Amino acid sequence: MTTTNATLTSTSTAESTHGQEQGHEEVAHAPGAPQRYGGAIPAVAPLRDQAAPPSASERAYDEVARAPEDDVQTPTSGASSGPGATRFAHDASLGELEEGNRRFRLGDTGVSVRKIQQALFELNFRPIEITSTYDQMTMDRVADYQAQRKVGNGKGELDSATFKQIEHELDMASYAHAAQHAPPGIHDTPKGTDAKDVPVMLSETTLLDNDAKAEANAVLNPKHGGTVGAFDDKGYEKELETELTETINAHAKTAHARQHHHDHGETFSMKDLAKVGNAAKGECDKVFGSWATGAKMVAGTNLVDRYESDTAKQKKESEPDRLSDARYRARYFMNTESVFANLDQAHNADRTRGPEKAIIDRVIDRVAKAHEADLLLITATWSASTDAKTGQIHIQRLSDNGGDENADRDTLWEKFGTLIHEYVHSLAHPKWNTWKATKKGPDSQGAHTLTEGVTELLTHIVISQINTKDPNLRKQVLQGVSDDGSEPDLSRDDAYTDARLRAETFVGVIGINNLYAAYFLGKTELAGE
Amino acid sequence: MHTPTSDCSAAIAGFASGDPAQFRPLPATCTLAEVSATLKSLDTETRGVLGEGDHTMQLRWFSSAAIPQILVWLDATGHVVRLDADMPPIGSVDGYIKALGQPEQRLDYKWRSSTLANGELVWLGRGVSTVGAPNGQGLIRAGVFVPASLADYRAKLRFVDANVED
Repeated sequence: MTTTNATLTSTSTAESTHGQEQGHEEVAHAPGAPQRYGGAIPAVAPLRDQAAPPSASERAYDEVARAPEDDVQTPTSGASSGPGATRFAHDASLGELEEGNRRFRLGDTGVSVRKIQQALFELNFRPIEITSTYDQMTMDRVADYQAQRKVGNGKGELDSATFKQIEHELDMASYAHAAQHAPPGIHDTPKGTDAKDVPVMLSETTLLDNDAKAEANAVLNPKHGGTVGAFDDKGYEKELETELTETINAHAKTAHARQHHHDHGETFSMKDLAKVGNAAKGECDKVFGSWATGAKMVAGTNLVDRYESDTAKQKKESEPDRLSDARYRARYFMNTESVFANLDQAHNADRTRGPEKAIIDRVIDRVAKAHEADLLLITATWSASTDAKTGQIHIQRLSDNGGDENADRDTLWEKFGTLIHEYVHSLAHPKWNTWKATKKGPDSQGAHTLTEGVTELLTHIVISQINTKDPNLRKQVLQGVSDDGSEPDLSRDDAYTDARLRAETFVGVIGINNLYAAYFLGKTELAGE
Repeated sequence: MHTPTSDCSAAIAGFASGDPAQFRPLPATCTLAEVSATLKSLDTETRGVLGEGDHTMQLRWFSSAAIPQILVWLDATGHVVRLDADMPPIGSVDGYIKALGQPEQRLDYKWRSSTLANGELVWLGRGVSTVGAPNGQGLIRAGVFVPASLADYRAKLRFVDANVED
């Protein structure tokens, strides 16, 4: 058994036979040198730049990258819907592998191979170099894996059964375990410590080559991975307007109900919510505390009532500002709700192109004007938010349920989940926030994935570690509401699901520790910048 | 040489009054201890981001009789570089101009989903900035900072509003 805690230090024989001396770019894993952040001088050429024709897996990767119709949120080729499948979604080569139509063998190359190497590294099958080439070292580690897990043929070729086992193992709990490799508090973000001062936090990261960066960006924003066909504009504008109006009406219904609760005093106290928030902080710190910790939540200062703070600001707006806010929320829906992505697909619409952009702008303008009041109310009653500049968390303290204790219990657990999400937002490094803002644009799926998808993924990682039977936790969350001992629903199934799934596929490319280093420490080059 | 505590206290107390006529330039050497001696602590510490250069700061939360929340921005050396208030309950753009004269700069200010053209009034030499509410009713932000050049103010001391993350 050769599973070890060894880090990436060995020289790959494959590297010396794959012409890296042709290297001329920024890929940073030199033969014989660690592939970690801050590693050795670049010396490896992009495999697809080399003279040899691409392998089957490379071709498949290229096809994936070019296919605009592919929905990155859908697991490939009927892959299971488990977390591992999500991680490897949108990869034709791995889809074929999973279905048993191909194997990865010595000499195969491409980003799909890289994902497997990254996965083995995270599963602690080392030493392994992340070269995007299925080299002898990779064969050896796969053979180790097969022997230890009693799966596959034991010879190091990656087959369907071995792949499925790897998929299965890479779950939220494994990501949580990966986050906890250093003692809590080693990196204390509020004190402004730079990541270079805590090299232990970067020891599990791996450098991205150009292909991996391209793949990471394609995952973030699938349409940017290739060319969309001719725009079919017939009916597009009308369908867009109908869908947007229906979306707003559905959200407005909830918003009006929330406003009603607030106006009738059906609210939790902010002090009680601060206790829930600090329970959420405690659970987050257990998992991510070695990467970053955030502020204790204090009612009325860094934890405030979103409805009250937002309506106070709306009262200071001029009419053009109000319309601008309404447009913002309408565009937010269009950028984040899957119904609009589906509509784009059906019409071959690429929002970065002039004709589509003009239609979208017209629709948003019309709908925002027609539904301005509802859009503003939707924003004011939005469940929660975090101010990236001050760390202030805004949350609805509405009980939603008019004093029904059973319902209040559910609502408090829901707020607990929401406050985990918001607290995780507050841990994002300023450099991460700056980088993700660059992904905004006419088609801002990428920004949404980095903003909400990644944050929600981290939220799920925290939740995977929570012992909901812990009496102290239950007391903190439920407070004045009687505890009937029931299992809370922390699934958050309706919270940014599409973006979260994209974020997990993103992790499949860059690796979970790269995500942590980018998100918490601002090492955004490790996420594809 | 350490600036006498009284200069810091006067600057801090001046801002806390909410009355621009009481504002004094914030010395570069003020510390948290001097703030704590003058204002009521809200026992809250967060990480803040200041300036167009996204400088990470330590942010402490205080209050005064006139302003319920005063944000105190401390740099890596522990010095106070800015005090400000979001949605201060008192003050007006006219009041600031009457007390301080015409501003040296008027900068576009991003707020929520809008850009307020020339919305931020800045007195660089006095170390004061404010943003009037777009509907003309009061202020949406007011602050004092260590007097600086325009470039330094923009890069390191300006509060840049961010659309909140949902």
